[in-house]
Amino acid sequence: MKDTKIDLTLIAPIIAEYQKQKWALIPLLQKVQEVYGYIPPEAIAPIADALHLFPSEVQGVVTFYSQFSLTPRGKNVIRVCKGTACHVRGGRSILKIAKRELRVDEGQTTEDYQFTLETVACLGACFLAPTMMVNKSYYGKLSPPKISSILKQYEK
Amino acid sequence: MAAEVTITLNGIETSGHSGMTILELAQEMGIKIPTLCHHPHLQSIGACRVCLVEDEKKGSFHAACVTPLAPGMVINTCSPRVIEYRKVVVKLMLASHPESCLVCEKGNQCALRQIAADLGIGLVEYYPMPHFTGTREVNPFILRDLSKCILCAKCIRADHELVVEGAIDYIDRGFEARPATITDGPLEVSECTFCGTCVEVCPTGALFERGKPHRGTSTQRTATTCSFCGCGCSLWLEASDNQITGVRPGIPGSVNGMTLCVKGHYGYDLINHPDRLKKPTVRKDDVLKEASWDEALQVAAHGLMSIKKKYGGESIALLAGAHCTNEEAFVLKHLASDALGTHRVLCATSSSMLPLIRGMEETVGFVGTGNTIGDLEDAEVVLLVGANPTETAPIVGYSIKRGVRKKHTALIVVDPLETKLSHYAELWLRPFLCSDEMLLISFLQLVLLSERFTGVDTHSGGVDLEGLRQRSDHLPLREVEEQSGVPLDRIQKAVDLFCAAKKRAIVFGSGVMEQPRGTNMVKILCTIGSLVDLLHEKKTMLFPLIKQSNAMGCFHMGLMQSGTPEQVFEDILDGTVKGLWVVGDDPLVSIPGSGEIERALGKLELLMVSNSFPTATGRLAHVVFPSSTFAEKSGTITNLEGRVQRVVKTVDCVGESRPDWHIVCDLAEHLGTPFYFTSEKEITGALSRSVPLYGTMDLSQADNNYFCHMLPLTALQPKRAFFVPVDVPAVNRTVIRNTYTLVLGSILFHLGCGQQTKHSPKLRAMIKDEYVEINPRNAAQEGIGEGNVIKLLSSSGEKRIRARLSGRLPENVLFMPLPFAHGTTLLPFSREGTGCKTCQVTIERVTA
Repeated sequence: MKDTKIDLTLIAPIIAEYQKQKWALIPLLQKVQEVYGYIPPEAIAPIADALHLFPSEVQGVVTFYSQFSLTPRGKNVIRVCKGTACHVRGGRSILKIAKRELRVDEGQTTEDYQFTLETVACLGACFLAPTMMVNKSYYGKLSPPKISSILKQYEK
Repeated sequence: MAAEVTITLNGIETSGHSGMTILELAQEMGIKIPTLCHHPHLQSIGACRVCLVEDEKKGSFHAACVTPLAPGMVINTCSPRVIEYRKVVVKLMLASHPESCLVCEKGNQCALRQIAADLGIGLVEYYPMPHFTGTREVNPFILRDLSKCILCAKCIRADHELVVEGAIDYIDRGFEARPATITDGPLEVSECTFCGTCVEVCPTGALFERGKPHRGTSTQRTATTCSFCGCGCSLWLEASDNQITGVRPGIPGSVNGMTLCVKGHYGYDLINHPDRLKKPTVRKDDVLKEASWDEALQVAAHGLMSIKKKYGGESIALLAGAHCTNEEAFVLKHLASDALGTHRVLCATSSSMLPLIRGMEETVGFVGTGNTIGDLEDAEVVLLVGANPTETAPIVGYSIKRGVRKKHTALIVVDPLETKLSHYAELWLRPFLCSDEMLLISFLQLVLLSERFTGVDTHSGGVDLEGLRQRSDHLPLREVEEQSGVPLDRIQKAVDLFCAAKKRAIVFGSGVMEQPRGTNMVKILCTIGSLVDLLHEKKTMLFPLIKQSNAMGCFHMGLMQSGTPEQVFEDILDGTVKGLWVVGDDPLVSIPGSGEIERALGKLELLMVSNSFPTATGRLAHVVFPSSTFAEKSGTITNLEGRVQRVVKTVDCVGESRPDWHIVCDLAEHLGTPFYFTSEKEITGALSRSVPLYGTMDLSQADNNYFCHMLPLTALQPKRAFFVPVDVPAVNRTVIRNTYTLVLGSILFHLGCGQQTKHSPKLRAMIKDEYVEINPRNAAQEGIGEGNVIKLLSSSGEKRIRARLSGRLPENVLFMPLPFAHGTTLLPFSREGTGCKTCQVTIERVTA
């Protein structure tokens, strides 16, 4: 996955859908990220061209939002909550265990591109603290053994 | 008129109009509110928070630059709370600012330092958190030190709103945020054109000019006019100790406003170039030796008189570069008619101007435009034909791009080559090379067939529409697709767009004027414009892009009417012309066919050259006069809009050099027919008395301020002769294997063939190697890789040059920047002088 050349033809239909619509940059980027797992830097110029924006403007938006990444990310994105409620309920050790299990640091991706580990300031589910998200699913009231079993579900 | 809004400002009841910001009203009242991110030419974003003011009624704080007036507001701009808050804002900026004010390039022009001083901020008690930035630049113009950036986004807005390049925008977020190019690389690999507008608006030392000859505030400055291209930008020329120290834009009412291009902004380093000619030289024993002015003038006058006596005055020719001032053109014309008795006084660029002059005079009756460059921004449709304004006339390029990006101008580009503006086009009609005339003819024909004319009186304004239609019936509308490669429905779409728009502009450049059939193409464009004028109230803006700074003025002074330089050289070869004075030009470099030119120059009995720099022609001369550059002389020049502006002397002449007008007057005296002009202002007076177009110009009010006078170009004769071509040349599309069409064009960093710009070390540093662009597919066929040296062979000569692969070219077309092509034997000499834009070549690989 790492060294394969990016197939830019995949973005053509997405771009065609939003042609010339400046407002649509973010939904467009989200769709591109869904296809590739990240925003390939090579895609910035064609996106900018289609929306009549400057490439630098598109780059500005991509780098502003943490949901977008310019580097390849894992198949599964784990977001561990660092909010106050999670912190007092032991969120720190949740992160520590996740790091140990995956053998990566915060913001990094595993070598096999299965997992990317991220932290967030709050997931908005404080009543379930400590919490984390894997892709679009929430996991609450976490304990160390729970983490390994959750990660196992996603391992492949 | 907007409604009036009354507010209380610092205890005084006052009113402004609705939509006005607090800052604008305060400035009107003379109340000073400090600002960092605000600039009158840019959209306000309220980023820096330094202009905070207090709403005393609500107790809230607002950024004055973005808060509109509301009725009944009670605003205090300097309450103790405001000052306290403002101090915090500035201290926070200083906490992340390096403590390098002592050695900062911005010196005491730094707005942050000024505001801190005004607020009495000395040491900042906050924990210092300076940014580290590592961007390194290698370009010769602009340096970035983003550790001094305060994130005001002025550079980004200038880049997006004024020059519309899009080279930079914010990257990242929070403390990491900074203006950056795409992939955060250096400027030279981005879209940046080094116009320097960002440097001009930057409030701190984050952006600055590289290698500025002088730090700190310059002691004097003059409002003068850039003498490179035809745009005629106004600029402040700053000087200290008789040295030019910088160029700054921003003169109110000027063509360019806050913008300039890389040539105008940074090309000033040619003024103090060590190569400048400082003393007159005279040929003695076949060597050019330094001489006194008196001696040189004596030799010149004697030579001219003896030729006149032997062969008659007509055997002397005067050739002036299109960068001389109106005054210089005027005295040259007089020298020719009064002292020498020759009609051969002409401008070196007349061969490229003549198609324009003939084409426009015979159709619309005037030459030039009746509009300003700023008007282009408001056009609903711009038809851009054979021009690359972003490189040849950058200010025009900015205007068109602004229109497209902000006001939704529809741009129609007709060009075989891909240009920056073809990316901004709503429609890009890309005809095969040399089939653009065919395309324009079908455009005209489709305009005539347009249903929009059905309601129009077919004899309105003396126009016989029916007759025109009949004349156009024979035109090969059906063949155009095949001959030009542009589908008819796309041309139809362009015609519909153009005919429907209330405000239209036709911008055309050297791709039209410098073609063998340029006159016809100009006529067709003027006819298209005039025809569509019948449908609308507003006239079509016709915008020929004239390359040189004073080609317009030279035309008005009568230097374009007496033929082309090519004809003069032919006459020299014939033996009809024996003496030649070249003023501010280098025909060996600027005129195609240097082999023939050199042969002609060798046949002359007297060759005089005046130039600021050593030239190829000068090396063959009998007498060489050193002349001053635009920074060392005064006069007026006329830009492509017909705007007469002043060039003002800022520093003393380098060495013994003299302004060209001075040299002409000196020579006239030595010839025994003195002009009695003691200053250039007297010449301006005489000029406006004898050239009717300049009759209403009044220079007496012009002091040290900016002066401009719009010539009534279109007021003279509202003539409207329509032109429908009768013969349409078949386009020869048979491609002979291995034969290429070489197209010559201008590039951003050099004007024309670079006669002036090549002496600027900074501009020169940008283009290190000569190159020719070739389509990658052709390159693959020929087995040529990027950077390989190839040999170009034409019917008249050859040239070795590096190849550069470029996808913007159609197949079997090569592009070479003009500065590299001239002075070579590659281009054939032609008496007609036109058609020097293209020539046929073959390629040979050179195994190095």
